[in-house]
Amino acid sequence: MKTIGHFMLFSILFILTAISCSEDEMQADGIEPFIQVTLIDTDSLIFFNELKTDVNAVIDTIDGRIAQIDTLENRNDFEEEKDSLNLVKDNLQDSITTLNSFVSNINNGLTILSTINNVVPTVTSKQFHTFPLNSNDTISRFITIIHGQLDTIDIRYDLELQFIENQLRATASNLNVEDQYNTFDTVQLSCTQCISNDAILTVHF
Amino acid sequence: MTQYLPYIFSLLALISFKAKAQEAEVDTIKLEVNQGLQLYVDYGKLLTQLSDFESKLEFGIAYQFRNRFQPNFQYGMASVDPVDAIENGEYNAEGSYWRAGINYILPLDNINSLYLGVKYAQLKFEDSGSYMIESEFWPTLEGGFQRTDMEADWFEAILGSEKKLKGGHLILGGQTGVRFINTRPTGEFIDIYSIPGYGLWTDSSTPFLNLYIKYQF
Repeated sequence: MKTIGHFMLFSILFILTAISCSEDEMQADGIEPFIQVTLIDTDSLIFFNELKTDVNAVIDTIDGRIAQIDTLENRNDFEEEKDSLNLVKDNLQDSITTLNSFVSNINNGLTILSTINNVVPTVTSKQFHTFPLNSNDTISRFITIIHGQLDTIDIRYDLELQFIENQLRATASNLNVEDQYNTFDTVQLSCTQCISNDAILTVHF
Repeated sequence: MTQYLPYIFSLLALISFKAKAQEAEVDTIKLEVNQGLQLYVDYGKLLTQLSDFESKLEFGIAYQFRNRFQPNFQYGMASVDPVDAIENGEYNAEGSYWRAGINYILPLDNINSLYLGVKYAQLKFEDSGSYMIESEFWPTLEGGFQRTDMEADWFEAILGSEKKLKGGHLILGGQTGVRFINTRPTGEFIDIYSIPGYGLWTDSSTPFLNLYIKYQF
């Protein structure tokens, strides 16, 4: 009986020790510094906005003709033309709605990014693309291909290694875009004293 | 969970002690403490030789006096590779230590006993580590460190239990308690994660459990 009691006591101690030694497994992510990039297709934006202006001008012309018909004494004779104009107007307004969604998507950066430094992104179209920064250097050169067009951009930064939550992480601060190799139309960082992982770079091309 | 272990162990021991004491009262057995030299090995640490992430060894000597006091000394060595120390790398700490202290035996009967004890321990050790930041876009960043000739010391408060096996020379035992760090070095950049003989460096105190087998001459 005593032997069983000791066995049970030691068993409980063993189990408690095993429980106390177990630790939750942590996911090692976010150890490589990165910036988030929004790509705005300026040419397409201009094209779609001009198209919207043209379509709106046609709608205005149609509205003018419909208003003119409504003032006529024999307007009943033009009912067929009026119905036809309203049908075209409805179709054009649908087109405006479609164009507005295109413009909205472009402004949100939903551009298809084919490759970054010859690597195909996991998701090619999204508002914020992740551009990992080089942990071995204080400058990262990115070569992008969007709609078959090649562009380059250099990001310079101060690099610091930190040990946080059992992970060795690289952090980049004072991020700046180097003008020399920048082929995009305009670039703008979301902050003046930017730190990696928080910084957003808006690129117009 | 870890912080409650000493209290749980103490509670279990007290329950066991009370039950045994009641048995002793009923049986009115004359308790005898045999005087003699004891040698022991920690078989819990021996089992770590089978694992991939740690290797420990500890053995000791003690002398049991009839007055229930038991001065003791242990020597041990340990090499540990905790996988969580550096999640994007590897870590190793190894060293050798000694402990010296005194136990006071509380016999439950002539076979089973509990004991209370205090110890002081000193360690010489070294640690090393490596880390890497892998990238799909850039060359992998790799680095490492090595620190040698480090020392640490600590105190231990112990509650143990022993059982004499047939013949009375072999004794099966276990002890639990809390270690309180006294001094330890601090690692720059990446701090010391594990102190061999003490445990993981998570706080100034840590619970422990040892299982051993003794031979008493």
